[in-house]
Formats: sequence, structure tokens, C-alpha cells
Amino acid sequence: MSDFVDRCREEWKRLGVPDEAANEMAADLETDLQEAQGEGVSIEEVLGRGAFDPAGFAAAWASERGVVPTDPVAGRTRKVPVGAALLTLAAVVVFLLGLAVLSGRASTHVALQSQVVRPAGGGTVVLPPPRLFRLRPRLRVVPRVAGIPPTVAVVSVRRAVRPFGWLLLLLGAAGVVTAVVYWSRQFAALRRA
Amino acid sequence: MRGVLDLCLLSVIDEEPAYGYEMTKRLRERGLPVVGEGSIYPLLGRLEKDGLVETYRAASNGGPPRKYYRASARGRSELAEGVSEWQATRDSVDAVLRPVEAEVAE
Repeated sequence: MSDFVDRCREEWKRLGVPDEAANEMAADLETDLQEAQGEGVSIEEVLGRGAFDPAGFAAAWASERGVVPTDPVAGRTRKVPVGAALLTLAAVVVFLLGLAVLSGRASTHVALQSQVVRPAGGGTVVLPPPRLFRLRPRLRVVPRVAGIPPTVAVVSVRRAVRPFGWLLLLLGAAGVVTAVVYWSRQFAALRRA
Repeated sequence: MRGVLDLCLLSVIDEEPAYGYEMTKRLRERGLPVVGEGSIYPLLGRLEKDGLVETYRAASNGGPPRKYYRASARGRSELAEGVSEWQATRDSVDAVLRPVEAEVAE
């Protein structure tokens, strides 16, 4: 008889019946069946044809009692999709940020002021920038402005943030792929329900 | 028969509150041993959901607490109306079948 009650419990769990209602029905049924057994009454005499179909019996009872959620999957996981939706949104934003950083045309250059030397014989000689800065492809040499030190570090922001862009892109892509897998499973579970 | 079983259940608990198996026994004592598909439990669930019965927990003969059912005011009203309809239906069917019964007797 406890096998019958266990099968009922499984069905109530599958249907998403709240634990409180399921426990109450299981306890009532078990007590009734034990009393019947003690009096020599078979389970068939108590439950009729329902004795041969525990899942059907359990589903009918829970349904008639009004304790079967209309959307059992949503009922069990209502809190999870909210968090999952936020994480999905975050992944998409990170991915798009990565794309924006990598494909952005805006870049900032800090110019290197040229060293201007005026020889005693007249004329002007513009010295090339230090070797270090010559290696930088985005270096620009501009006329010196009075009051500003002769050399200023040259930085291409675009180049500097490129690794960061790749990092965002990869993280975002991983998040999006995970989200696609997660939501596919959610929708499959909904269709099965 | 579904509506008639509802009436039978309301009737047995209108006399005295009872738990599930106790109702089954009362019905059997009155000649209704086979409750049919799904037993009385789904019916009790529906009666409870519809507010036709009230429930409470109490120990039964020193045993574990049981869920007792009793007819609510609305349940008693439905019972009275249902019994009246059932009697009218039974009388009509009896009137139709009476000639057949007479033929069989002859």
C-alpha cells in the first residue's frame, strides 16, 4: 500500500503540486489504506479502478482539489528565469561592448612634440622622436608648443584597449552560448509539460 | 452518476462528519460498494474546492489525526436541491418504466 502512496507522491511531484497539499493527501490516503487493510478490505474496494492506476488516481484527486498549478514548470522555477534573464541580458551587453571596442574608429592620440633645434648657422632642424616612440605606429610629430615639455608619451587608446575588447567579446560570447543552451532546455521542458 | 455520487457523499456527512475511508464504509453499508473510477477522494477534493464541505482534523478512536469532512451551509442547500431533483427524475423514470415492469410480471 505504501508503494501505491509513493507512486501517488511521484505523480504529485511531477505535476508540481505544493508539498503541503501533497503531504496531506499522502498522509490521509496512507492512514485510510492502513485501516482498510486492518479490516481485511482490499485497496480495490476502497479506491475502485483507481487502485490499478496510481498516477491517474493521484492526478484526478489533485486536479479536482485544485492544487495542480496551471504551469507546473513555471511554478517550480519562477525565481530562476528572472535571474537567468538578467544574466542573459548582461552577457549580450558584454558581447556588444566587446564588439564596439574592437570595431570602434575613435582613438585618442597624445602627440609627441618634436625637439626643435636651431643651429648657430641658422635654419631649423627637427629631431626625430626618441626610439621608443618611433616604434609606435600611431605616433605623430607635431610642432612644439611653448610651455609644454618636449616629449609626451604617445598612446593609442584604440590599441591599448584592444585586448580588453577581446576579453569582453569572449566573455560575452560564452555567456550568450550558455544562455542559449539554458533557454532551449527551459522551452523544451515547457513543451513536455 | 457523478452528480449522484456527490449527493450520496453530502448525504452521509450531513448526518455525521466522517473521514475518507469512513465514508467508503458508510456507502458500502448502504449498498453502494463500488464507488467506481477514482474512488471518492477526487469527489471530496472537488466538493472541498467548491465550498460544499468543510474540513477539520481530529483524532479517530485514539488513532492518528484524520481529516474529517462535514457539509457546509452551501453544501446542505445543494443537497436539498439535489435530492429534490433526484426524486423528480426517479419518479419520471419510474413512470416510463412502469408498463415494462408490468409486462415482465405477467
